[in-house]
Amino acid sequence: MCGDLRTLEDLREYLSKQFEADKQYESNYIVLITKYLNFIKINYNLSDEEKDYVLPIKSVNEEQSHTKTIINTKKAQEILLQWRKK
Amino acid sequence: MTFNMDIGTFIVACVGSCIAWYQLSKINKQIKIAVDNQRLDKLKIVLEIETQMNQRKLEFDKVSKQIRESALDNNLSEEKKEILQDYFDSIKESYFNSLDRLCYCIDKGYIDDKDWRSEYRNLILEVIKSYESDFGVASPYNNIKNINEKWQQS
Repeated sequence: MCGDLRTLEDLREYLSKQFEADKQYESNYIVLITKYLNFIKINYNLSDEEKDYVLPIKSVNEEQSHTKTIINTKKAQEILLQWRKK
Repeated sequence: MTFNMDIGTFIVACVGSCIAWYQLSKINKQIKIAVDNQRLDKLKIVLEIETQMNQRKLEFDKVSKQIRESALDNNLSEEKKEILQDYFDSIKESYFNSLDRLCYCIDKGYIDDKDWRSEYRNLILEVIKSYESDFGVASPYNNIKNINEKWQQS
């Protein structure tokens, strides 16, 4: 699954890239993250903090962009308020 | 006789030590597995909540898009407006419930506060500011309010 990885940063970058590719084939994030967690556990002897650091979970969070949703829905709510006033 | 007894005791002690060492290392391994499993369970909870939040977020996006598109139509009937209003309220409640559940897990320590603070601190504040009327005194979303209060103070 991996090539020449020497540092924790190498591993983090590698997993992040791999994760982006795997996301196209597996839409269930729980399955995907579990797979990555098991891979790290089997192949590397890392502390809990190191595991958290290399796990590509941040990619999941970034995608969610809830703040944009709130901005968009607020615009919709303003329309609803105008409709009610009329 | 005394010498034989001492040798015997020594052998028994050695065997006892070996068994104790073996048992302890076995327990140690089991504890490590249990800790790992606990971490995985925690992660599963978070991902499950986030997946649900994401699904509801998409629904919230969908309804707001529908309303904004409908607003372009000047001949939109009152009935259609009422349908969209009800749909919006229902999806909004569903989304806030999922956010409230996440805040409950953080507030009760099921998931680590520090891991989610940076990710959700601004969002929660933005939600409360944007939907002020939903977060008044009688609001059912107490966990969101609690976490926001806690995070804004620190």
